[in-house]
Amino acid sequence: MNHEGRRTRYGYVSVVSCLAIMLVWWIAAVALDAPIILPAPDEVLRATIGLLGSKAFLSNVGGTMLRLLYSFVLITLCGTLCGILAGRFIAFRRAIAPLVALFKATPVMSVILLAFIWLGTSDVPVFSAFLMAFPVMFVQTMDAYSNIDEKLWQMCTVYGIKGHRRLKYLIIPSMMPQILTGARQTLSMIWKVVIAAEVIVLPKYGIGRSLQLAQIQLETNVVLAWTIVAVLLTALGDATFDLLIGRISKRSPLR
Amino acid sequence: MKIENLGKAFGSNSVMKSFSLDVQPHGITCLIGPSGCGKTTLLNIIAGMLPPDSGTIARDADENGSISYLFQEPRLLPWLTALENVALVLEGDAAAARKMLNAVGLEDSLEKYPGELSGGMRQRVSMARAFSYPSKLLLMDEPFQNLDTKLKSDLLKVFVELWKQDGRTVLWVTHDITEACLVADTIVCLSGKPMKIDGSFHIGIPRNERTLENTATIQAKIYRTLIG
Repeated sequence: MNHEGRRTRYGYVSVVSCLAIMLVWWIAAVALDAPIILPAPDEVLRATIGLLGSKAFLSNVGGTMLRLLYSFVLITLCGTLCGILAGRFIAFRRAIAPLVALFKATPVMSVILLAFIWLGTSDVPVFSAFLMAFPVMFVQTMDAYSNIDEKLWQMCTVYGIKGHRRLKYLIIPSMMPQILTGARQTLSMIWKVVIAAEVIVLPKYGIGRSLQLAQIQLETNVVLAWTIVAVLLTALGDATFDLLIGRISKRSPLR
Repeated sequence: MKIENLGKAFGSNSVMKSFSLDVQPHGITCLIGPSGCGKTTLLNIIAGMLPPDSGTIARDADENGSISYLFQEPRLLPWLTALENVALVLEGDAAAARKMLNAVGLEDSLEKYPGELSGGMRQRVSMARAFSYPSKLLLMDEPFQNLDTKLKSDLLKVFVELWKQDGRTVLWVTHDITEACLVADTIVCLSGKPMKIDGSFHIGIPRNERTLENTATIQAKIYRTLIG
């Protein structure tokens, strides 16, 4: 069986697995008979449909998406720039290493709470996402720079390929696969951090705020409905990014 | 090109010490010697990829300082096509790149990426790149060592044809005595360490008249020099 055939076959296995989880969930919900603790799948489905039709849905999703986009652009730009500088200059790498180690080791909730104290409401999700995901982008870019093939580098030196031409034809194409991997990991990570920060700081609009309000009002079905929305949006973001990577990869000079 | 009193050491390992060599301009000079004696180090120093500890390299007056280098591996950029790889050293002149790729027999593979080419074809692209680059000196570091005999013979013919067109100075590191005797003007036998010249042989027979038979005597002399 070829690769495509195996993918189709395992695709069915995933569907069966999802159905099994739903069945277990449904049996557990019926057995517990406590919708505040575990609502049944059909209740959550109704709540999700209700959310999609509500006026506040787009505002809340839009608020989170804007913060997400802002964080993503900021992290990608800063992480790439610092990663290249750290790859190129050992002194810069040594200087920034303690900061990156600190960012990596700090618990997400500590960052969010400190940011809340220092910055107030609006900037906390972006700041927290930056602190959590910057090391990922930074390390991937730094490694990508360090992994540029030394032999190709020598070839460029011999044949006078310098400056912007070396950047365009050697450095960027060599680094691009790892930079794209870093960007994808960043995107997956900041979804969780931005929503977690919104839960704490309760901005005017946001998925995190909606989750927190639903939890306070003991609307567990709504909490699960927003969770499903967040999961679907994350999957959609990842799929869009993969599509983008696929399209870019097909074109020279990234091939 | 005149190499004088060149010295290079890696830690306590002295690769060359007061090494001198005159390279015949517009000719093909082959360097033959045991593995690890410092041949590649010498080429890398000449190419400017490695700084010498001491000594000088004086290029001929008509040379512009540029160097072409045929490495052991083709060293092509995998995200560029064969045509783009060659055009890259010609400041994007695709017409000249196409002409050179036609000359090495790759007219049907211009738009292919290195990953889509065989080893021999990749080395042809590398050769087209080396001869496209406007240099007066070509360094070669066993570029055909991983190819089979037939492919190697074909590539040698292509190489000689291209070289005849511009007659640039060639300094060629090889382990293949037969290959050297069929192509070179001068063959320098080296030993290490530190690297020194054990013998230098000028091949008097015109290149187009050379055969395995009429170069047998000189091949034997080179062999004897190498094994001491």
